[in-house]
Amino acid sequence: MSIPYIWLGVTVLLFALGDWLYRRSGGRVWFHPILLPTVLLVLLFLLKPGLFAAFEQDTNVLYAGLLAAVAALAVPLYRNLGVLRQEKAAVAAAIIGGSVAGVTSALGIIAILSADDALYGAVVSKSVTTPIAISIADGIGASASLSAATVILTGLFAAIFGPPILAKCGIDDDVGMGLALGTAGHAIGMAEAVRRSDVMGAAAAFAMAANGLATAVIVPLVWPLL
Amino acid sequence: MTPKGGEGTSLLTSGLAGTVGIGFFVLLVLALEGLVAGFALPVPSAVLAMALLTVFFVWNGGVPAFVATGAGFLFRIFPLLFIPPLVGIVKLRDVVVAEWLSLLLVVTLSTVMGLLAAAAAYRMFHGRGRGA
Repeated sequence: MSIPYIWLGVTVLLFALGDWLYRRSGGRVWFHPILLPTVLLVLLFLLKPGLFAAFEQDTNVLYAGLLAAVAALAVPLYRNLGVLRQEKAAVAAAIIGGSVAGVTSALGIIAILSADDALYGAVVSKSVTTPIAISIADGIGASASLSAATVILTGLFAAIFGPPILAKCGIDDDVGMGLALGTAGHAIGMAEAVRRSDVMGAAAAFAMAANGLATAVIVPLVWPLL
Repeated sequence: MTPKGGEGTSLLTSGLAGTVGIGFFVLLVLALEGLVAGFALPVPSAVLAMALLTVFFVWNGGVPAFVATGAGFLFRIFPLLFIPPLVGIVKLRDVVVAEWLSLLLVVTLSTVMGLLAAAAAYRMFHGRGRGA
């Protein structure tokens, strides 16, 4: 017999535990509140794959919340439009620079590694949110599952390691950090930015949306030429 | 000192406003989902909702209180909402196992490049648009 919504409860508890540990550790990267629940649950479902279907069903309600939260980013975006307008040249440069550097370096690394050809199509959309990445993959004939894997891993890496890497490089400006997280780490990077400050969240939301839309339009047009 | 009853009432009011706000976002995204599917638009319904709401707030000259309260509740739990899609990577186990080294190198190196390029470009142009 299974208890309804047991996995929702387990996920919330693990998140609360992760959040508590993260605060207790003074914000150490390895105690990031996304990391503990994700790693523990992934390990559990790798050992017991039969449990995953119940987890997916029980936590479906969080998916509706995720979509609602992305729509709700209009609030910090509107409140900080003035800051973004004031720095429009820098905002545009950050999104274009981050997007082009991310995609070209990924393609270059695959070429150097002589990796599987399937990876080329999967990495061009690695820095856009999953629904856009999957529609791009369909459009250019790439593997949707490989695209989804690169998107998820990219977002997780950017959210956890992005802020400390940027801080080490002397980037402490909320707008600059938000633009970098939204451009390179899409919605998962943006969630981290929202957690840190309203201005950072607004910059990340704008970068995620602009990068996602531009990638969705440009990649299918440019792909046949590559 | 705030009377206990007043505190309770204000908590209840903000809780109600937050619930209505969350409901508003969910319904808006669901309504746009139909539009996106019907016109085969290349943009997720949630991103479209974010763009349309921003335009609405600019036109309206502000954010309705219940919408702002709902957004505040959602942002407090934002990272929690990402856990199920992240855990969903177990469904892609075969792909990840087969290409783990390439994926690891591509994801880490190109994400660092993307982060640093975005931040460097921002810093280079920072302040140039002001006073124009």
